[in-house]
Amino acid sequence: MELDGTAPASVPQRHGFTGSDRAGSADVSPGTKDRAAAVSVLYAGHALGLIRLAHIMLGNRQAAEDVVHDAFLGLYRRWPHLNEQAKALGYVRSSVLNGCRSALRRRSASEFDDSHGAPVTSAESAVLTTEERQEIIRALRRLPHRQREVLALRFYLDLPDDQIAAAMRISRSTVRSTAHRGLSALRRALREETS
Amino acid sequence: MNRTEDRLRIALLETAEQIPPSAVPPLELPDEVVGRVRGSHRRLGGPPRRWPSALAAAAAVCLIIGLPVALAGGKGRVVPARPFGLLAQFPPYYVALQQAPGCGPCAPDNARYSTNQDRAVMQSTVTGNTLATIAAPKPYGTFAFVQGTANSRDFILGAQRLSDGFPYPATKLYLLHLNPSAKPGHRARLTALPVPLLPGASSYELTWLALSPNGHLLATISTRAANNIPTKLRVFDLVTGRSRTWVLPKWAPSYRDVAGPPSWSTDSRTLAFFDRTMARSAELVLLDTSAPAADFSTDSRFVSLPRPPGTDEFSFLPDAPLLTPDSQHVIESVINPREITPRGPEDAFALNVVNLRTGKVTQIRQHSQIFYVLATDPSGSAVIVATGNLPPFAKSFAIWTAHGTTPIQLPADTIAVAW
Repeated sequence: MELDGTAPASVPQRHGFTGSDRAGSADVSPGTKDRAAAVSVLYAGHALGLIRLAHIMLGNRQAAEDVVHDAFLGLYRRWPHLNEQAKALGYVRSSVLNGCRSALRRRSASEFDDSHGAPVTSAESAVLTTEERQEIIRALRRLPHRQREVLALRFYLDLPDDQIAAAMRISRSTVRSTAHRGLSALRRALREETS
Repeated sequence: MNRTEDRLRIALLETAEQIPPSAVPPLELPDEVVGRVRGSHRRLGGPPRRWPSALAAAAAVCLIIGLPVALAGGKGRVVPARPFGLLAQFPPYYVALQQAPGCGPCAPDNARYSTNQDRAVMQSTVTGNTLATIAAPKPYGTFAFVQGTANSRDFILGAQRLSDGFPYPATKLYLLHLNPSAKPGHRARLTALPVPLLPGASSYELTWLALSPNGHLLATISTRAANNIPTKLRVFDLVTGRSRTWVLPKWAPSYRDVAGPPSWSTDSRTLAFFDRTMARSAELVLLDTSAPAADFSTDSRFVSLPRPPGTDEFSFLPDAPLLTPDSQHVIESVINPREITPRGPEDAFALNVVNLRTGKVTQIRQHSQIFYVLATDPSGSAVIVATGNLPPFAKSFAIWTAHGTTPIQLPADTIAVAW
């Protein structure tokens, strides 16, 4: 695998996100009466990206699908109470992050059986997975949850700091400092693994 | 941009792409199925879910499950109770899950999860005496599953942390062994099974358990509490620690379990259960758990069962019919519409046992009220039923056979029984 390239130009298309809450919820107008239809539209546009995000966090595809599904169910329940329905994507993104935290907490607290769900990857994809990539992801998953989330939102979703701050309910300066610390920790971890 | 950031970005993208766009499950938000409202035990937009889940609860518990029928207050045809001698031929012990004293009638659908500190009470079938009372070990606070085994001295108990059900709690499985010759207070031993904690994940519910007759294999069925998410059947080898998983290709048309309670064949190789995705007929699934493919369609054989003439299945009961632990009989609750009069049902409800080999139908009971089957002996010829309402609101409990009825002593707060 080549690692010297720059970030792919088609990032938003590849992970299914536009990177903008407002753009993501353009089809979900505040006046929409049918909340099921509104949530379904949102799901169709963003489920893939959110499942992939949760998969990065959890390393378990079935658990990732569960977290995202529950996040959309929560959105569906609370749809009438959303102050600004245009921010639904931000809401569901926060729900996914919270769901991932909960799943990880349960996992660490109770010998979570990672293999209980459907296979995380097919045999084919397992062959394609390089050791180096696994090392990076392993190192990422060992970081504190806040650092892990900031790095995933910044380097996978390419979200700007203000949207990361909104999704994680922290300040922008905290986003920047956390990202810096996370990258440093990641660098150290990878160096240690290599050595 | 430095090298670490580049590597991280590419690793994230490539990891994410392990999930192809086609893998996104569809989202369905029908009014009646969306999920549980935290703390209220109701589903959004639908009727109270006490029925199916409580029923499933009792079922989960014993591998047997819930068919309503009626015991108390019926007219005329209730057979007089037989002496205890009749009970001697049945499994000698049963275990009941009971709510902690003072809890009152709490959540009725707590066989999949529990908001109470439910404990397990082992009792003698013949005398009704309590032989052992077991509380869930720490860090778990309650038992939510109980299932009998072939030797009638071992029971599988599922312990959980207290939960309001959403997200569903993980389940730790224990083996409860009874030594009848030991002194009171030392009769029961609780041992953790060599099975990983069964995660509740975000929405998966552990719905059924079944231990093979040889005691080596434990089957679990987990159902997703939403549409279009496949049910998973898993078999743990308690000797080697290995496990195999089958993903059922179908999903339920509504909030129902796809698979009914499983039963093992006597050689501990085949797992039998009902496919309940068909609304008004039953399809028996025989899954060869020793097949190498671990593919549900390849490893399974499907058998359509005839309906007994002149009967209709309870269309509102997701758990009927029930396969007995010997896989040779089907217990089903049926209703005869001709017996429903303007004044109400008169002997309209019946409990039948169908012999799968001969096709012979034996009616255990006929009644004018609904009752709940909580447990059955291996042949299905004797059942433990709750009457009056679904546990923990039941008024009384009894053992039914085609020959008579014997009341058994269980507290009103009993929520599940395994034989």
